[in-house]
Amino acid sequence: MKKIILFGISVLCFAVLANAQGILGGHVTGNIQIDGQFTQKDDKIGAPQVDEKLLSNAFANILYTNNAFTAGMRFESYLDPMLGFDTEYKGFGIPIIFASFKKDKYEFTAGSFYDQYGSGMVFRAYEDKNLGLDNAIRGFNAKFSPIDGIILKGMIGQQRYYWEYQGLVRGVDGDFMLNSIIPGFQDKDLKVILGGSFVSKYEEDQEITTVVGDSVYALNLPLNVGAGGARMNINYKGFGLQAEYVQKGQDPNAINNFIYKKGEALFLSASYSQKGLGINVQAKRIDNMSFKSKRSETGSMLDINYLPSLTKQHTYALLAMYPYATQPNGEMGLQADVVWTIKKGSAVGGKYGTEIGVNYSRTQSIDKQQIDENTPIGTMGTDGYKSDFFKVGKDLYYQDFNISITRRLTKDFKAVLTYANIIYDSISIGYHGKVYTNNLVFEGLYKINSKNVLRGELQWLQTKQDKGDWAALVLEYTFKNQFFINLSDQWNYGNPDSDMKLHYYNIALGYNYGSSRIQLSYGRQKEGILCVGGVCRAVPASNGFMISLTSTF
Amino acid sequence: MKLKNKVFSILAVSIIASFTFISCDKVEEGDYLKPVGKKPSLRVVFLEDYTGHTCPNCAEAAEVAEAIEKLYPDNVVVISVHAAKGFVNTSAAFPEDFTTPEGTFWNEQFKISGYPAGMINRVKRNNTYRVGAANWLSAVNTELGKEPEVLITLTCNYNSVTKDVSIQATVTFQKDVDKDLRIGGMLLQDSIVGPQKDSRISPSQVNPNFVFMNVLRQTFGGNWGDRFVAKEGGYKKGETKTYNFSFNLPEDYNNTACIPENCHFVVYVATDEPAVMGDDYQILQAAKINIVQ
Repeated sequence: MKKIILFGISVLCFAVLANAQGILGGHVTGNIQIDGQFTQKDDKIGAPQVDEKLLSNAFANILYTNNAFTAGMRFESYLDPMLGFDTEYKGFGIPIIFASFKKDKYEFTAGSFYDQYGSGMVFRAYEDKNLGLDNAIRGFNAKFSPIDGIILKGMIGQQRYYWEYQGLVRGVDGDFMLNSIIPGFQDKDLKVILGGSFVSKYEEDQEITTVVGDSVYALNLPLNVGAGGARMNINYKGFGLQAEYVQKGQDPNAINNFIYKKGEALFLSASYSQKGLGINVQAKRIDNMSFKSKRSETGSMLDINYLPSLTKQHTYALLAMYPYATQPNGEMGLQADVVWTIKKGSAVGGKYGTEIGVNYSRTQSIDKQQIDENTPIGTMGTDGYKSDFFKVGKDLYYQDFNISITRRLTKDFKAVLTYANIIYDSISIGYHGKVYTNNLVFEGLYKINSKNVLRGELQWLQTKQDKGDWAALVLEYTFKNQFFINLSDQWNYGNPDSDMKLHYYNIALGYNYGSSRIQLSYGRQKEGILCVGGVCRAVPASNGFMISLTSTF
Repeated sequence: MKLKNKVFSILAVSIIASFTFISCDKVEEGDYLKPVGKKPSLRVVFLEDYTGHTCPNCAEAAEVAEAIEKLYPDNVVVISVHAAKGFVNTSAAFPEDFTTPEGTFWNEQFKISGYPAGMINRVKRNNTYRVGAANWLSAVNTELGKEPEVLITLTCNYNSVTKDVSIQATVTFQKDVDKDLRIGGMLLQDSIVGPQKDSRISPSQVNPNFVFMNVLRQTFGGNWGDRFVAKEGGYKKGETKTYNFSFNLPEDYNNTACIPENCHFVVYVATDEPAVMGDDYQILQAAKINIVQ
């Protein structure tokens, strides 16, 4: 680690020097973010005592670019990790460091990199700071375009696991744009892209045992596990069709309870767009597709692939209270999304136009049948279960119907009205039990003048399950495009426990200066789940101050 | 297509194809398992179910725990710890108080949340002690695969007149152990009938006649058990150490009659790291005995 830090500092010094003196004609860019949390015990909401008093997550990206050459690094510190972030991150260092060279038809990267093949169901290396997730690969990544219309990729490396890199992952990917490859096809309205990818991992053997009858057995584990897929993307004028099918070899792991069934996934997306109208319909089927570089890992780390979520990513706080978490062991889902913009000046569209968005998504379990009458579904050391590909399972995991109307009522006032009906099965946090909610949100944005804006939200969530009904209020005033103040309160007025009808208040002050921003907030954070794209982390309750500094250069 | 480009394309496809074939192992059906020995029938796994009578999903989890206990009757001990924050308060509709100070302490100490939740041998996995009910069986199987470091055998003497109980626990070391350990006891009560929220029951969502099993009523040895310190040179394989628990069975716990026939005593041996809550802390072995034989 010390060597890496020294090397990183050397690269940084060199880069800064090069930029400052223009010796190599390159330039340095980057960004920095420092978050601090001062939290106190709050028995009412379950906020724990934090002995350190102050917790902090911070990172800085520094990038040096000189023509075809790019070098970069990221310094990170978690001293100590803020509540809800894995304490394995505790410490500081330079986990990301790389150099890349791009010329003509070649691009090579040595060091840490992020990349994605197709929709990511075979391979996606990415990071999300909000989730505390980072599965960067450290190794070599190459891209090559032998002729116009063909892009080939290859990579080999290890995966980031907090402050270390573990496992062995290698993969290849190809995209073939037929319009560019086939003579005479270039100018056609029909655009076709075909693609394929293959990724495999190697993990050394280990003893994993199971008890059958009165005997103990060790699993005969496959050490190399591969996943491959084929995809196509067809566009014709306003229509689009995207499809990807992937299959994974035998991969007994802790997520699937060490079964040997092959995994597979299908993702379909059809779209149509014209002026004022956009329609998108998506469907997917996932069966045993958790693919990690370490078979015993059950958390959010070491994912080689990414399984897309077919649900709307809500941004309003109460609407986002019951978010969907992708179920890698099996789910079938569909989503339909329609956005209709009614032109201004019409009877329905009003003077300034109206936008109506309707979204529906539903995800259920897949069909699972016993492999024989004596073996329960999912039994360790067996094929686990049989599944009819086209049969939908009986368990409803998630359903969301929402409609949103956005309309500018006057030149300075815009309003958004949203209704959502969500059914949520809390399997994502380890148990069954459905929550049925009705949600109503009104958002108003009043532009006082070109530099001052007042925004407000009124939110309501009704449910007979879990913690009962909620109401929320948000008021935000932006002054001269530089200062802002945000007041919010979430009130759990319908909690069946009278002692838990609590207010989760928050006040935030922020200041923007150029490309920098500082924000200070104080308040209560309720316990919950944060999901981005179906990937989730638990958010514990907290009460206290937060400070955040961000800057780009 | 120029010859050079054709060569490139053929080369690329060949590399991808060869990669596909060399990078995927296949285990034939019938070869998934290889025998390594007889079932470690001496290992007893300690499954704690953190629950509460107003927790709508905990009834189903209790059934999961019961099923696991039935699957491994000699190898799993289930403890129902009524400490689920926000779900254990008493009211006119839920009058029973099943809480214990120790259960509440553990719930806080092990950062249990999102009920129902449990711990399996208090082993930290993926940086958390919490195991969701859906993963209990898998975690139990993992623990069953481990060789026990100690065995516990119990004897119980119960005087039905005075209600005095005397438990003797004999700890037999299965390997050389040179570290401090902890030993503790727990009194469990079965077959208490009372109201329990259950999200599966419509529309009331309450089961008025839920049968509470393995309810933790009292601990012996405080939060972490009593320390028994390793002697000079440690304990050798085959050595034994005895420990006694004596108490008087109360008439009731929080106004719920304590019926001796429904009471059981659990003894556990754990590592001695509770103050630090390090990764090494865990329950090593457990044993259970009926108060009335």
